[in-house]
Amino acid sequence: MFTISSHIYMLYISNIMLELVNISYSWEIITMNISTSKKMVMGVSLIIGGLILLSLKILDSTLSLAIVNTGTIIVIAAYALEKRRPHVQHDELSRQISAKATSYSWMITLILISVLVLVHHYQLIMLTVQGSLAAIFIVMNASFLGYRWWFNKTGKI
Amino acid sequence: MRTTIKKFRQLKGLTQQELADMVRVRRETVVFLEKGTYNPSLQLAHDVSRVLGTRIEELFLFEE
Repeated sequence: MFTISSHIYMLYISNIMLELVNISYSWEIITMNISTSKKMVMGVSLIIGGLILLSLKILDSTLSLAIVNTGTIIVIAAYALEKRRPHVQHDELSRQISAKATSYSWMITLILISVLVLVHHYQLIMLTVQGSLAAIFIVMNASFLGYRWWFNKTGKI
Repeated sequence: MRTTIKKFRQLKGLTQQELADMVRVRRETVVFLEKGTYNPSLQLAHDVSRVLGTRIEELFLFEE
């Protein structure tokens, strides 16, 4: 009885220690003098790396999860800090870019729906409801993100 | 459209980020304004000219 409870106690303490190490490493990265996007990339890389290590069982699962935790803390903290920065995130240019990207994305989606209707009418491909909806969802989001990226890059509205 | 924003900004000793913060836009917007690729709203043009201590028609030059 004593052995089991002391084992659980030690496990609890070691987990707390691991989380403290996590937080200290995360803090080191968050306070680095690099752009938020680089911090985000580092955080996401740690999450993906941790998940790969977890799925391939290269490391102990506790350590892999600790890496995922560290990445998650970095992503959330970097996002929160970016939102608190005094400078404006959504100025008139970014609003115009979002509006134009949305309208272009809608146009692309309408074209896709028209194509899907024709494909269905002439039975060129056997369409399912799930497949059609997935295609529309993916194309709409991808085209919006693509156009927004392009307008942000060129600045021409 | 050509702009003289960069010249006036450098005369004032401001960085692009500082100017962006003062007129409450993103730094990228200042970059595109300086390149002349973005036509700003009248409000933004007014704010930029006020911060740089000049007139709008001195900042934005339209070739006819």
